[in-house]
Amino acid sequence: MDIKRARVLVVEDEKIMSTFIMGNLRRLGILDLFAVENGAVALREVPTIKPDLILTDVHMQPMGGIEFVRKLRASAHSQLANIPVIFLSADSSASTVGEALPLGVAGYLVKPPNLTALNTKIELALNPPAAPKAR
Amino acid sequence: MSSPSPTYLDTHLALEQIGDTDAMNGMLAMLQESLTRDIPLVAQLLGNGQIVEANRVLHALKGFVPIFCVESLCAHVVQVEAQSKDSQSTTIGAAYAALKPELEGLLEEVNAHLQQVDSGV
Repeated sequence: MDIKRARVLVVEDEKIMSTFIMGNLRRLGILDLFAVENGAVALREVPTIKPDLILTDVHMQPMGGIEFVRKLRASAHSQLANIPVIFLSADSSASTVGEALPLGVAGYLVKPPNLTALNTKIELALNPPAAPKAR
Repeated sequence: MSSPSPTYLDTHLALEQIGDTDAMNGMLAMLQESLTRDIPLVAQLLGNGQIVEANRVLHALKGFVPIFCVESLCAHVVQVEAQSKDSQSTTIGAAYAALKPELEGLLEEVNAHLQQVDSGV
């Protein structure tokens, strides 16, 4: 998928960071953008927005990114449950990364993400390498 | 007379990361608002022993200061934020007391930059 055609949802409670991420997504040519302020709102809005990709913060109130993605993955609708997710966090502790990675995430970027890293992770999330065929 | 070079604010770095001057100035106005609110708020929270709440504010700060600030200030914020995760209130209070003047210095530099923008300099 051409990343410029992707619909992206940003879940971020910090206004400065949300503005920064949205601006950098526009710099990458991604213009179909939505932003919400926490995991609870994201969970409610995802079925309507139907994003191709979600970028989410980890620590938010009342629902953080880990709980949001856990609930998303448990959705009965496989199309929603399998939306690629990239975590963006200022928290690079092993415990938080260790909680996030088993949720089938496409990436974990430390804030503030640079443009090149963001581009690479988004390309990979939307165009994952094909799994090797089982023999 | 020209103003002295900023100590904490790095507008070249910010511009590189944000992409254009108008967007950078808009985000600096947000930073101004955030620092004006949060510098005293963290002191107040720590004074009340509300370390978890203070950590939440410092954690947000840790995420966005690298967009705008010199590395030494970013490193100091990282250090104090880490201390606020598991320190006693007296220890973190002293650590924040050392960081606070630097954040206030950053706010002064942001104010000065935005005043220059407003006056068309």
